[in-house]
Amino acid sequence: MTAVVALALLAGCSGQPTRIVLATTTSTQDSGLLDELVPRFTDATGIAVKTIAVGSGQAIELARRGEADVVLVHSPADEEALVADGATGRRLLVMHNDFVLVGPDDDPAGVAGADVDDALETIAATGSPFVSRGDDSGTHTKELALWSVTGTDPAGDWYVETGQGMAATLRVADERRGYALADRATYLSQADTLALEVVVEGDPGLLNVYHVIEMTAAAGDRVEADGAAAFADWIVSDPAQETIGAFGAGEFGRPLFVPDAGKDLADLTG
Amino acid sequence: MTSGIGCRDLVVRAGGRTVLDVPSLEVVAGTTLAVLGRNGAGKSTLLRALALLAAEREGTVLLDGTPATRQRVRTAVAAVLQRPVVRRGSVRHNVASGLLLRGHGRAKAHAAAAAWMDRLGIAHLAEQQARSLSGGERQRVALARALAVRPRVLLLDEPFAGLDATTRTDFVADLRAVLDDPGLATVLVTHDRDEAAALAGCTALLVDGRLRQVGPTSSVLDHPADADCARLVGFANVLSPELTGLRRTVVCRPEHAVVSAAAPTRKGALVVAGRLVRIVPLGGITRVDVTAGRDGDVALSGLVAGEVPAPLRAEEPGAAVSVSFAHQHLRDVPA
Amino acid sequence: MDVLVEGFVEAWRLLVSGDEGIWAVTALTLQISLAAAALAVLLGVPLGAAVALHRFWGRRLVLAAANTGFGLPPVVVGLFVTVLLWRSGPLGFLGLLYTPLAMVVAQAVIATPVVVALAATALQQVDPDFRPQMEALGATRARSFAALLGEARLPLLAASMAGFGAVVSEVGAAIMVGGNIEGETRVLTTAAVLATNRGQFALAIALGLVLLLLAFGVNLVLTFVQQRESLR
Repeated sequence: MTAVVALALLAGCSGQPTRIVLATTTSTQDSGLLDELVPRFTDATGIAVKTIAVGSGQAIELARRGEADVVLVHSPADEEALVADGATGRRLLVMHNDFVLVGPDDDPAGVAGADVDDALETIAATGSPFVSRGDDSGTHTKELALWSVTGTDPAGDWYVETGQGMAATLRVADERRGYALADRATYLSQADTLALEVVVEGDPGLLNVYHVIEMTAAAGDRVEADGAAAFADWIVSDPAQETIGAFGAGEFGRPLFVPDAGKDLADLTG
Repeated sequence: MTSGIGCRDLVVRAGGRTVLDVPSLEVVAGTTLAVLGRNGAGKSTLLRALALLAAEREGTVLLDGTPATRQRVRTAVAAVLQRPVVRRGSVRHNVASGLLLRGHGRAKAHAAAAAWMDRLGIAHLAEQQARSLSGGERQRVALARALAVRPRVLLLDEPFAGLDATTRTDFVADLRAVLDDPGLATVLVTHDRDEAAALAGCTALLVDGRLRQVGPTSSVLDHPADADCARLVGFANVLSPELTGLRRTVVCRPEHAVVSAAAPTRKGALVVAGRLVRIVPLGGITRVDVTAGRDGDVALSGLVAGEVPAPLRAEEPGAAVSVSFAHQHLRDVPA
Repeated sequence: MDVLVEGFVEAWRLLVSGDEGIWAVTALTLQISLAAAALAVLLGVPLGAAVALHRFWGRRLVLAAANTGFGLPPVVVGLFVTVLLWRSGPLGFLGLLYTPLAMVVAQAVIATPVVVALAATALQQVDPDFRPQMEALGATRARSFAALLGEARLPLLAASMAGFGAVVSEVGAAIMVGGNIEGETRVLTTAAVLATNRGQFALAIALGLVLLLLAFGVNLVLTFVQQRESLR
């Protein structure tokens, strides 16, 4: 029986049309957007996609090694480092959403409505509990960048790192009645089970920008450069951008992402 | 050579030692050979070597006079090892398993099994789990299993070990009937000379891995070839020339040694002086142990039915006694 | 607490409504873990037999390694297998990463030490004279080995169940090596992790319950076979 199963599986993965490996982040997958987008891409181009959702850091590392053909991440500093390695093709702006600072409904640190850097400084000064993902993800990288702007080094009993995904981290923040930085999409999808509220939003520093980066054969012999280019082309095309712009509107009352293809980074506002 | 099993220059080593060395042996079809020896003498080793089961074996096993291959031994030989190994399952399944393992069909195997269960008196146990049987019943199962394959050579390793007296007597009788088969050569390993006498036409005495004596059972049991053989077949009293003044060593069974307090002058008897060690009543018979010889290092013993005579009974350990051996009960041994 | 109740309700609903997604994921879980367990038994029983029955140099090392393998973190196995199957890895040319076959391989690696250690114990408990006696009755070496396996079939079946149990519930290797790709390599455990990450707790619990039911079902069948044997 093993032989039959093995042969069937083996037959199933050879002799197929092009497949590409898309490395993306867990939060992107968790939002559910890819479940909408990827099948449409396959319908449009006939190219099958293996979507691997891991942390930003891992996704970029996979791309660097040529294990992934195209990445969709939101970690600008790491992305620029990847491009600097010289094995990438185009890096295109796809969409953005924003991060929000969430906290307990009674806002013990009193930071509601403030600018994000002031809010963080106050949280650190008052030693209010703050829960970080601590996993080198895009969200974590953004959080650390925000801390460094305030000049505060987050450390102490009040600062906790979960090493886990966004949903798990929010639950921990909920349990400890602390603050956290979250992408709006994940927060919205969990909001009804959490006692956390948005305390700071709309700050330009809270933009969460997604780029698609296509890899070339320079990264590895087996990179599907054509398929990667096809994906990059498609995700910035009108049909894909429309899908992105409509995603989540029904469920959450507002779309979770803002399509940005073709824009300049400087043009983006919250 | 006629049909049967044998060996030539058979040597088995274990852990650097030679545990078996048999230059030649032959067991003809229609006969049974008993291999008698103490524990550790190499009897089981010999049996396993004949079944081609021994690991470090040199020399040749002969089947019908020609060197035997594994294939021929598998077909012609069946062995029952010590401590009957029964498989999970019913008695019927066990008895049939020899045939099943040889590739015969279920129907045929079970039919043969039924016949042999009848012959060995275990038909009433057919559906019982073999593992739940008593020792004697298991032996019968193991034997039935081996016989069911109709071997031309049957090798039995101490089939009566661990059986109580009654069970053993019954089993000996049943086995005797079964072994009376002109097409069957049997090798029976045992440490009991009564079993050898009951079942085997020929007996071989194995001492420290070597065959010291082979011959018809009655003569082997009554005329041992040397001192070791003598002790093996029950001639516990070994009298060297220094002790007796005779030219050769003589041996005598304890049953024929008469210990008395006085010094008898008996015609036709050899008398040896010694000191009493102990008198041990053994329920119906009494054993008397004596030391003799210049240094008191020769152990002699006598066995008497009932109680010892009164004069002897009164003696203390250390008392001077004499042991007399009637000439007709003495046997000469070369060494 | 209501999440648990919701989970039960959701599990019931999914199963009864014949939800395609759930059945596909469940079927894949069963295929992959059964194939892995079967592979582990095919490799592990002979290896366990070798360890149990032969004296060879390093025998106790192998046994200790097998017993250690019991506690191998699936994530570690997943990592090793992933690195082997990477495009840049030694077996990259096979293109097996992120496929069900890769998951079968990784899970087989996890289950094999379990089977080896338990099979060795199972076979050591049979009388050492068993094979010689069977051969003394005329069995070939192959037949006597088969008889030996048959003799130890109860604990060998237990070893197989343990191997299956070790892999059907693991998630570390499955996610690393399979990639949790919908419709291709998503199994009950990895789907549950995803659901949890998305905050869909009732669904996650439902998936967990389906997994328990699946594992129970398989073990029920094997236990029936095992216990029927023991009554014979």
